[in-house]
Amino acid sequence: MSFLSKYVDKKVCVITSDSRTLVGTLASCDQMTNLVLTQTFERIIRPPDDPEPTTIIPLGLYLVRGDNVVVVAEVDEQLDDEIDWVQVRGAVIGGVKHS
Amino acid sequence: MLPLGLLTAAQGQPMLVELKSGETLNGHLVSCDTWMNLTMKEVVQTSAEGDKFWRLAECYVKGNNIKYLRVPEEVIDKAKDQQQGNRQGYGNRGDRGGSRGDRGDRGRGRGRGGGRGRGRGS
Repeated sequence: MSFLSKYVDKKVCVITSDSRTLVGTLASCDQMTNLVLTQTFERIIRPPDDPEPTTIIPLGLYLVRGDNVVVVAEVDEQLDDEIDWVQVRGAVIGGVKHS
Repeated sequence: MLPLGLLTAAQGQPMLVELKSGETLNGHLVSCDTWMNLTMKEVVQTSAEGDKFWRLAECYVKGNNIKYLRVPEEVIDKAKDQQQGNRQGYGNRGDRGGSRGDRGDRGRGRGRGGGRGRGRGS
């Protein structure tokens, strides 16, 4: 059985069901995968042909309801700090509903 | 501390709730429960497109409709303090439990006295 609790107090990257990428410190979680993230940033990574730049929005304290969590990934802080995220471009993450 | 614990500690604080529909509710949290159902007051409801606004004196949000909640940073510190306060409370109760043991001995004495009393009655 895998536990999310081993990621508590670590920097994590969360992908939500509406295809948003959130990065923050996992303060706590529960059996329903409700998450509390502190010092949360939303990274809106845009495709290379998009005129708008990739943006990082600071969000502060965030409580995400478990229904909407798709991926919780542990972030290697050293590696993450080395990347200038504003320069990063990428494809838009697809949705969760497939027909 | 658990996410729902943080939410309970946030009662009375202003917050932003985004629903699965994309609508947002900005207001003060009155109360919440284990299913994340919320009651809020002085709420500004914004449509998903961000073009329509409603002002609601009070509202009830059913928990299953919530996508996420944005809470002021101070709440987590307040919640941690509350948790510390509770733990200290349990410690005090432990001391009182010790003295309860003494009263128990005296109680047993009283019981014996009561038995004699009942005998006298019959």
